[in-house]
Amino acid sequence: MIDIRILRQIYILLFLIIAQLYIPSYVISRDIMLFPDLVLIYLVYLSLLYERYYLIIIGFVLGLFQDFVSQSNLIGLFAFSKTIAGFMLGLLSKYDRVWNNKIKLGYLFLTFQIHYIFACYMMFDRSITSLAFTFKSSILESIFMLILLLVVNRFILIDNKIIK
Amino acid sequence: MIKYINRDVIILFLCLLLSLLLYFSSKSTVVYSVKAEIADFISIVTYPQTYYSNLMTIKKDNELLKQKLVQMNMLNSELIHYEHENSVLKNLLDFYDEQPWSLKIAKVVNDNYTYLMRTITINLGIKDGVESNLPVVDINGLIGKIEVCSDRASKVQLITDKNFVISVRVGSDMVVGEFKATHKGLGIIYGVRKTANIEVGDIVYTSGISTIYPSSIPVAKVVRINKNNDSPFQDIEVQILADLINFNHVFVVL
Repeated sequence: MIDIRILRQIYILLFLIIAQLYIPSYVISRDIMLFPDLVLIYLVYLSLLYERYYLIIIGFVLGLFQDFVSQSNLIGLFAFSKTIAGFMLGLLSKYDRVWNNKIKLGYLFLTFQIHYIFACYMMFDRSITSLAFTFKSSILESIFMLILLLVVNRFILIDNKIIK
Repeated sequence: MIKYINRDVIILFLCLLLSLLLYFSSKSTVVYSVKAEIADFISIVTYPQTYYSNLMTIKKDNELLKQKLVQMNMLNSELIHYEHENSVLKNLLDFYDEQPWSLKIAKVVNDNYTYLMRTITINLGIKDGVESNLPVVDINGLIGKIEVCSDRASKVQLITDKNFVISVRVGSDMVVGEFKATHKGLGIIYGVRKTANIEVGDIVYTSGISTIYPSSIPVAKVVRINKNNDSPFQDIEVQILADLINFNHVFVVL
């Protein structure tokens, strides 16, 4: 018999994958488009439940899922960035009771930033897109994701909040 | 604790490696641009090491280049020699074509200068149709005559030999005289009367009276004339035309 908790996570994951397919992106300027990464939010949520070792594996698997779902010509892109994100979020679970909310927010921003720097760097062709755009895009995505995380944390995560 | 850190790091590297393998297996232009940038980065990082390595190998390269330079210089010298030889042979060929006599070209294989006898050895002999007393010339004039023949080589008595006397004609009247070499490529024409019209610069030719030398082979050029003597004959000093210093190829007049 499958554990009820694992079954619950599988349901959430299926819902997220379907939601990820249909969720709209937000165009904020002529060249920048913000895309809500629900998988990354979910990985942050999982960081409260599992230790780093599992987070790395989950990050890799989720990233690979995301690669197959979002774009199939660059398989491995999100697997790579989500693996790094999983590794960094492993520290969040470890210091959950030690860090205050400001440190947690700063650390989450750093994690998102690194995740998006790698993702954007490996996603855009340098002959078309400059490195400055990659940084600009990753900063905006990180801020957007942090806001989205705070919304999720406030309204969806009732009993197990990331930011208390 | 260390065990867990190691486990985390190992799984991290494995996942990263796997994702990178998947990513770089793609044939997208994005992946190519990332590969190019990584290659650039690696080349920048390894530049000091490459530079140092180049410094270490530069000495060896320098030695090789020096060796090559010497080889090239030798090759160049050889080519210059061939060019000179080609020019000489071309002149010889022109001379061969222009002459009315039947000529056979020979290479000088040895020369022998003694006080009295001055000879050279050529690479033609009896088997080549050469026999004793045949005249030998170069492109400028008479050199001498065949003295001794063997099957494959012959000894040539040079015009500068003390025992060499030849009947010649000189001047506008083509008066007959006798040529005899003196020293340093010079010679004297004997037996030309003072009344004969001879001028400096006149060419001295073989007379054709002798059975050995056909007529009109250039022998020498008049360089000085002296008529102020007690003799009925004038003293005519001549410069031998043939190049008697740099022997290389000569012709046997058959």
